[in-house]
Amino acid sequence: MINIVSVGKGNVRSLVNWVRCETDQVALLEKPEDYDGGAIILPGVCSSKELMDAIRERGFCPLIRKAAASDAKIIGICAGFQVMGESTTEGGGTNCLSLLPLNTVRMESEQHPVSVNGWDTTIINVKAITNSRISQDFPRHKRLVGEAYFNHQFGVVLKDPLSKADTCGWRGQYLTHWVSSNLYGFQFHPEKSGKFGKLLLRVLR
Amino acid sequence: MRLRRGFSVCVQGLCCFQSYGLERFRVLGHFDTVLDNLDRHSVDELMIISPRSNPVNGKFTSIALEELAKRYIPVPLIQAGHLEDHRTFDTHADLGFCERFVFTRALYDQNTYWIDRYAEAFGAQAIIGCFQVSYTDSTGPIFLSDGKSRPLTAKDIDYAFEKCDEVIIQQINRFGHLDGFDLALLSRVDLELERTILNGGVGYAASTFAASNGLAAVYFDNSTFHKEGRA
Repeated sequence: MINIVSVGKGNVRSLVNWVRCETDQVALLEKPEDYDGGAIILPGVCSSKELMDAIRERGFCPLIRKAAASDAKIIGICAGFQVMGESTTEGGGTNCLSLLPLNTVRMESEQHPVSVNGWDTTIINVKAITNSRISQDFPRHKRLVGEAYFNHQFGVVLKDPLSKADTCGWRGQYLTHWVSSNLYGFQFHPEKSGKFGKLLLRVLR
Repeated sequence: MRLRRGFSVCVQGLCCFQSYGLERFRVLGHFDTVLDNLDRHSVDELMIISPRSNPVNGKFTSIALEELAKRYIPVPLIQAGHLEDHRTFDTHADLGFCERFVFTRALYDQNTYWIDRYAEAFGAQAIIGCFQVSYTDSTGPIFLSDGKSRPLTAKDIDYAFEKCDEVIIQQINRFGHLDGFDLALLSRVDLELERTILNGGVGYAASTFAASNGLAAVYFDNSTFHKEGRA
């Protein structure tokens, strides 16, 4: 079962429609007690602060952490990826799920706030990510290449900028994705990325 | 990033129609025709518009939105028009199938109540402002909203770029005109080009200008999907 966390934030129906291109086994998870195993998707198209507050208020934090520790796939998309990190500064800031050593900050260029809107070529080096289930998802691919759709004002950075991370991809100083073990984070929107998004449906298997 | 090439589609329920200026319309066909042609036209994003008046004489209903929400749309979906009521907002918040939202009246009235509500639910990146503009050399740019009009000012533009992630310049009197977007309009307003989207009669000249001047996007009129003979 593919479980989409539904806490009144984000484009959950767009995600349902995307998942249904791969499988009918999809459910909106409105309460933690309804979880019965399977992958968990954290949605985007919202503020990471608002999403994290809603996840916390609905009591989802223990479930998501337990599922991540028990090898269930956790797939974060845009704001959903951002809350997999340790903190965000959006909307006054808050602590996040701390599944990944990442932080979310306002994107800047030459000290001016910027946003990223549009399509960009994105590469996921499957073979370079040795510690992840993504090599099972794509056993015949060395890397995944395609145009991905981005729409965000806040970006994800490594908690330790000097750490070596072959698990992630970059756009400038901000991460486009992070893939390690059973944890998948995408700053872009696979559910809105056309052909590349359809290729990425395999991560749901 | 490269120029995004989107399409604007006037819809009522699941019926598409072409707008010619503000008051003239021609029914084109079913919305699914649009979805069937997204790949063929390499569409980067899709904006659905419910104009103030239209041939079906109504506005978006919750039922129509629920029908749209059942469809897999592989590119970002943007809604323009009739967002500013509680029922529509609740429907969007419940369903979650649109990625971005377009506001005109909020800019005309300089009242951000609804912008703030949608931004709280969907994030500030989801907010697009729109100047519906009628332009001729003699009148200059006239800002239209809900039957009201006034000259478009630098203050309007500063306000829009402060409150919104991107801003559409929608040349409303050129809708439905082949390659009709009057680029002279852009010399009369001071825009942040990298955050500006052109719409309303956009064709070869406007899209070429946009690509060479670093604009964010152009949205072509929806008649393209229905074989009216335009590029």
